[in-house]
Amino acid sequence: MPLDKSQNITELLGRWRKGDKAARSELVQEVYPVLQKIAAKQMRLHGSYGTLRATEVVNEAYLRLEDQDRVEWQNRAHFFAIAATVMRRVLVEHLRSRGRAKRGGGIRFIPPDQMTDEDHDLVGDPIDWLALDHALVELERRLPAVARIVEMRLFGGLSVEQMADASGSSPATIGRHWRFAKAWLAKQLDIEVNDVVE
Amino acid sequence: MSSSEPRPETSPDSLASLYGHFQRLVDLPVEQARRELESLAVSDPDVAAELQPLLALDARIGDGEPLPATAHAAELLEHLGGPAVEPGRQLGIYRVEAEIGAGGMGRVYRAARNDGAFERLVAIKLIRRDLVSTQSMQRFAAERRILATLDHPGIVRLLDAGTLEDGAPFVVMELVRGEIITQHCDTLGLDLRARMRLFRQVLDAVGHAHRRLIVHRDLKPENILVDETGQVRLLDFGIAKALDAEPGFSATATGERFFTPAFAAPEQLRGEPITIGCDIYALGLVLYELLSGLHPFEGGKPSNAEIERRILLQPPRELCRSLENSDYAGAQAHGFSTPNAWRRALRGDLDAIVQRALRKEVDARYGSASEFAADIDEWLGNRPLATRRSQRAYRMRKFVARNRAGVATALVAMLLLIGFTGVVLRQNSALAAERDRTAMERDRARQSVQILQDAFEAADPSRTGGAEVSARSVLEAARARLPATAQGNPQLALELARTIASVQIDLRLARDALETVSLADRIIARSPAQSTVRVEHELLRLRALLEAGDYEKTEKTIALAKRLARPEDAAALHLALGRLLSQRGQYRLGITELRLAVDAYAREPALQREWTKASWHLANALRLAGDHHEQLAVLEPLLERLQKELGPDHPHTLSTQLQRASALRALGFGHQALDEVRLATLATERIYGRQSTAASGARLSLGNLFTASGDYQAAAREYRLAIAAWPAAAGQDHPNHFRAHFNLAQVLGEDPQHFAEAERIYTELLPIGNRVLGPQHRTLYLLRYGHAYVLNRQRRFEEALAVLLPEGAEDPEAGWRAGAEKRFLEDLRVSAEGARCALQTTVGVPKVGSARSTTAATRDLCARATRLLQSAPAPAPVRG
Repeated sequence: MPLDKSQNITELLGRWRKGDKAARSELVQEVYPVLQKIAAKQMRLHGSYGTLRATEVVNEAYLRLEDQDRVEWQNRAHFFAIAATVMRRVLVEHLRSRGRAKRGGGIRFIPPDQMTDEDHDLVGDPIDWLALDHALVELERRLPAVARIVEMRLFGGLSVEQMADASGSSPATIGRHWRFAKAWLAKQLDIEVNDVVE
Repeated sequence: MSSSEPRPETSPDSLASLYGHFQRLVDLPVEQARRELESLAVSDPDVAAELQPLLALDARIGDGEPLPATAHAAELLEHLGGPAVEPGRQLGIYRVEAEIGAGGMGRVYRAARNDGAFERLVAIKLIRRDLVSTQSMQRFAAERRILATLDHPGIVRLLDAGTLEDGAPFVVMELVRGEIITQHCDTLGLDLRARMRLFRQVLDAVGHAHRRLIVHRDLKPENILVDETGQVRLLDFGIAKALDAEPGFSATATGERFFTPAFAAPEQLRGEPITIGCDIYALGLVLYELLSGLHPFEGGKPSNAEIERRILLQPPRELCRSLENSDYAGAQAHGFSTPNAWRRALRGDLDAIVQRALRKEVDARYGSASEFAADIDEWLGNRPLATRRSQRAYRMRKFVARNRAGVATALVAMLLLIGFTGVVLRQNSALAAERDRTAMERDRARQSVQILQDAFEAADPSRTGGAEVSARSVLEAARARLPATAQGNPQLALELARTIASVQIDLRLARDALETVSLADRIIARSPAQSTVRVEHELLRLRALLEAGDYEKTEKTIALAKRLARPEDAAALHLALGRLLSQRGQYRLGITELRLAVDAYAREPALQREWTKASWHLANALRLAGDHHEQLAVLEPLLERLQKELGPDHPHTLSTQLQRASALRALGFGHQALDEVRLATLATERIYGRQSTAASGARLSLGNLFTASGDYQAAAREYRLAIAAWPAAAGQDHPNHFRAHFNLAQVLGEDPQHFAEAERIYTELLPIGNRVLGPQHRTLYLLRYGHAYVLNRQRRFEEALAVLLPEGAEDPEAGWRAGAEKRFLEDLRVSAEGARCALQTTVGVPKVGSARSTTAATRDLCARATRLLQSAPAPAPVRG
């Protein structure tokens, strides 16, 4: 990554922290290729099921951008908040590119809060991530704050404290958002509730 | 998930409003939330309709935070859908007074019968209209008549039924004032026995219905009340069936089924035919909850789908394990002072009962409520359970018990196989301080437990489709795993091999034991063993060889073991040598060695078990030597020790008692002996049942006693009883079963009337003995001598010769014949004389080839017989 790019990211971060909302989508654009590359490598590594471990991808991206490109994140939470959006995009685009013949597009996306996959059988993803994305789009239109929480939680693996830090909301508010989102999404997607939470 | 297509869109405003109402209601107390939802249903029905499922989902999802309202939201929401009637409303001859409850099926009211005949309070259950189809209503009408025949104090009577104008059905039942059984028990802090007695009542009631072919199908604690008098009252009998969906009508499509998923049996979830097995299963769940306060599949707030998955696939957790996180309050509510005491009480029998009821396969459960009740009665009476047969751990204990009972020798070491695991585990905890070793030890303990479990699995009769699991098959299965284990952990494999061999020896599976020992040889050869291991290994081999009757190798092994031996091995060597000498008929020397062994073990309190064995062998040698006074002197303290350590009814105690009786008999105290043996036999039959290896063994001893006294008729009777008492499940190949036949043939061989039968038994036994005992076993030769004896008595001398001198080497038997030499030579001489092998009876004047036998085979036999008689070690006495 050229030097000006990492400077660009650092600068964008500064603008975003100061409240420049446009900076956020630019950050996503900058971070996207990094995550995309890592994700693609990981999917190759994990064989035919193409397991995609969000946590690994995001962490690796963080380290790469920080160590190799000397981007100054200052705060992990901020990066993860951005990375969550990027991760969602990486996943959705990957699934779309593979067509939707199979549920889950034939890959398993392991969300950040399900890091051990021993508990899950290996024959398919229990969650239809495209449908989830679709529902999130609707949620973003009407309850954007709630949608952001879902994104950060499911695609970025942020803790409540990190989400509070990154979004500027109180942990209590985040808890309420998350609780509503879980029930609403479970209904919207017909998800067996345990597949999403815990 | 059904589809990734978007659902019908929620309007933007309503989504925000939904969020607002959700947050407002979600943490309210149940009643308040219900009222709020009801009023919302009036002001904004769309949002209310959206909100209901969200609250329900939230309740199911949970997140570990306190959820005052949502804990009951699911029930609340179901309740909201049901029809309601106002107090004061008249339903037929009943006037509704007040709502007294609500559940998944609908609301329940208290009502009064007021048709003028008499005033009577009843309960009316109004069933949600959306849950019933027209067909099921018609069926319900038919079913009602059957339900009305249920007349049992434990079953709440169905009095009447009808429908509202809109078609919603209702049933009229006795009004019961009671408490849900689980709450009742916890409120009163009932102990396990009291809980079991209550549950026993439930079984009575369910059994009554089952005998009328009525299945409840929705048994759960909520449907089991206990009234003020302590009488159990079952609600809703048969209603679930009466209302259940028609074939083709998908109950799940409405999101409802007429059973509670958490209390459904696996076959119910699979949509398979419903039998009384469903109720048995549900009763198992109720009992589980009564005893442990927990539901076996509900740990960790699972969704309904997760519960279903667990019901179908997961074995229920052991009762005591489910209490891992129990606290003092819980224990005290169940009548225990500590959680540990509670856990201990649930281990074993109670768990066996519950697990039997909760088996996934219908056939494996109790076949009826009364069978279930029988086990509970046994438990209440502190008697052993019929059920524990089906449990793995029980199979393990049972096979040990059975084989221990069946083998006449003092098999104190029978528990070794199980004991081994315990030893490793104990060592493990003792070694806890040694950090580096602990992990390894724990690993070994786990592995050895695993191997044993696998062995029991492999020998599981339900898998093999065969008879009951035999000790032999378990040991074989365990041994089969050893080579694989040796790859990763040779030390563990070696220990297990030695344990298995040791048990095989005690079970008199000498040949199997020798194979296991040579497997251990190979393990040792591949991994350098310490000399400690070596000497212990050789001592084990000695026992196997002695049991197999291979005295030549025994001698060599004793020599080898002596070179390796440490001072503490002296006793074991004395024991082996003493046994060898006694077996060879060198009783005096043998007895000296055995005494040294007994004395050495007596000085070691830790080696009581070894002392018992050595004493037993000493007594046996004294018996063979004819020194019955000394035999009694050894048996008395042995018997005393066994009675104290193992109890008067233990098989070893009984068999020692039998031996003592035969010593008494030999000393001329016949009546006393006979009475003792009879008593011991009766005790054995009482404890083990008439059809048991133990009873068979006792009869065998009784027969031996009669044989010793010369009462062959009585002896034959006892041997026949011993054979008849042998349970088929124990296998026809068992050495004791073999012995009973052999002894029978021997006494029959004394009576010309029974020669033919004796001969038949001998002929049949030979191949069996070859298989069971191994071709080198002493008993096989005795068997041939017996056979020859019968043939000789019938003057069929040439046949007798052929039996005595089987095809093969010149004299393959010389090595082990030892103790039976005299008998062999006597029989051989009689046969040879009869066959006119030698012209003279005098030994030492052979005239090989001069026999007038007609065939070459007979000539050959005669030649061999003559040579053997000539080279006999001691001059045989001249027959009179």
